[in-house]
Amino acid sequence: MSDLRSNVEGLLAAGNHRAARAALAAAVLTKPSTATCHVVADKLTQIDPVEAGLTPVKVAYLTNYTVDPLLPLLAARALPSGLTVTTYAPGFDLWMQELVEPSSGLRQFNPEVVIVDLLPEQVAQDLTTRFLALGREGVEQAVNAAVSVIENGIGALRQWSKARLLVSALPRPLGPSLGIIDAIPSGQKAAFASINERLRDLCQSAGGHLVDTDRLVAEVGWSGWRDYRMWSIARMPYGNAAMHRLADEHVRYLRALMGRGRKVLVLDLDDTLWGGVLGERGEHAIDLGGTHPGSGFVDFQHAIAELRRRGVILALNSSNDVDEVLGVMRRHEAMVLRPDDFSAMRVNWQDKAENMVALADELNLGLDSFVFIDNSDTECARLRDALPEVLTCQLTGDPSGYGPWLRQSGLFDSLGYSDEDRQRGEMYRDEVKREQHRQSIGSLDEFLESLQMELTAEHVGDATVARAADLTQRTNQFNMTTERRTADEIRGWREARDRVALVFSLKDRFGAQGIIAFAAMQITGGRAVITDLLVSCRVLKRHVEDAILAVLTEHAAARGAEQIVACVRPTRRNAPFIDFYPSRGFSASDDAAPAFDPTLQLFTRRGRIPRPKHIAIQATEAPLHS
Amino acid sequence: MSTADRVKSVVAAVLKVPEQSLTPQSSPDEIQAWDSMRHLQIILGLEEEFGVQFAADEIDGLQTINALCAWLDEHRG
Repeated sequence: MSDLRSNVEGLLAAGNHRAARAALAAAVLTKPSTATCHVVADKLTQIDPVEAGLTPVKVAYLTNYTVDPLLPLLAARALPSGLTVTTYAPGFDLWMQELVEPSSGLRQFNPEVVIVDLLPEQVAQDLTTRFLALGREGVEQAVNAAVSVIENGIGALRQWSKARLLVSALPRPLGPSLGIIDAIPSGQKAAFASINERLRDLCQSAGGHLVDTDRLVAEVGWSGWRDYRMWSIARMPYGNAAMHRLADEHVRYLRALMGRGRKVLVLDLDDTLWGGVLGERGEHAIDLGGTHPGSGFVDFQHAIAELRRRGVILALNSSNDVDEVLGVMRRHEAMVLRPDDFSAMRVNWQDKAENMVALADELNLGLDSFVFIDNSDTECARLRDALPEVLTCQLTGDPSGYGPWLRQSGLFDSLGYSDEDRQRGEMYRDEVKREQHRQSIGSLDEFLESLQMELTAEHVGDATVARAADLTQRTNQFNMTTERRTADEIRGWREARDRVALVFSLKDRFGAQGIIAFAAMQITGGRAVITDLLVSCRVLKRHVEDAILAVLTEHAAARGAEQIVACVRPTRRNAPFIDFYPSRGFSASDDAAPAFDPTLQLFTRRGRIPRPKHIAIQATEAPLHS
Repeated sequence: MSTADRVKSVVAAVLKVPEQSLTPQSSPDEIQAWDSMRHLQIILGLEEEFGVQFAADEIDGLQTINALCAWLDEHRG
């Protein structure tokens, strides 16, 4: 630990914040002990987020217990995901007071994410400690009372904050009053289930998420979940294991909420997808099949295949002979994953870090959306050092544990599940075909012509609102304002007369690419303000963004708006596209109306922008044609 | 690593001080950051590091690196 501290101090003294980040993240990944987390959380405060490529996020905990020991665990565990967390917690049980008081520390902190984690014995004391004294009506009242406490808190928060919200479900009691018959409809289990059902509805209408506490308790086990000793000494309710697991669960949400979700799973082959070295043993002697240890690798492949169906893009990065590998993948009867499951592969004798960069290029995705899984100490250490943006995970121990580990890892958690997720792997494979096609054709113009692209613009509807929100969460590069929107927020715009919210889908001769862009405008008094414009990175450089801009200007014109105002919020990750509007005839606007967020840059131009050639545009609504 | 080194490593991490600054006699009296909340976090860190559990009424009495080491040497398998 002393080594870690002095190593990081040395790197910081030399101004190498990126390497300091890499060293701290590697320490967390290698051994995320409480002591490591304390050192990492401390040193993290000295790292410049911009230099180190970290996304800052302000998180407030609203609890009715002493939350201090959890805070460094959260900060440290968030680092490998590219997040640098600043936390705030009101004094003991002052959360409601700080929500309401205008000058409270909480309100000055102005959190981006609020986590409400209340203990059942506090918020539902009667249901926990004197359940059998309540009677049917008493139980109902106690359920209502518990829900109202949280409902009032959320109501108070929403008076002044648009922060993203996580609310912990209340876990069912460990020792229910009715013992072995508690599962009957009038037991405590049912009472807590009914609280949690209502909390879920509450979260949905407040644009928040319900954290499934019972699942976490089941993973850790009740005996490790609560520490009654520390509760009685210091109002610290959780055991060590519980705090680590809670912090990890919260990090999974933070990643998804802050656009730091991982999208690509890159895999090694030998001793990762099968046991043994293919080049030495040959196709028939690798460990893969119905018996140990091969069965562990089969199970691991099943877990990977399920991630692919969840929307994760699979790729290979392995030192092997590519023909030999393809042979195994096509012919081996125990292989679950087949060549078509991978959207890209680098199977060769090149350096794996170089391969990784090439994969990112080919898939047109940032390295910070990559996870790499390998079994080798040296390869993992090399990757963590060379490419800290990639989350490198090392497989250790018996192969039978690989599948269970991956399923519980939450590495790829995201906040939605849509048709696009199911088809993503295929879409990216088409993408690679498109790229090969491009290389076979001389001029860009000819290539674009040959794609036969068709862009469809539609108002956001019930079927597409989830995907629209998902795009705002996931898109970091071509995203002009990086506003993360919830489905409910976007749904609300459909009622507003001055709002236009559109989703765009694209198809071409290689296949449908689904909904690839989202844009929103606010049109008032002859002026259209483009508040949101984001395009999935896999369709960029084909003038799709120009077609979208053309549609937006047509739409504005149809509503009588001649002046177009475009908003840009520069971030580290949208930097390559920051000149989009100026290069399309927009000029910087001095119309800095105070209503606009000061972090936004404004650009303006007048009139319609012509549609680009090569893209046929279908618009479902009359105004779009005018 | 000796018990003392492992204890120092945990204490230093929680208190945000260099390990070299800690002696067997280091205690809350001489280190300002070592308040009661940090003391409990040290206990949690040691329990995790050594796989042991302190009894509730022992925690308050173990106020030096030495005392923590002695307790750990006595109690772990």
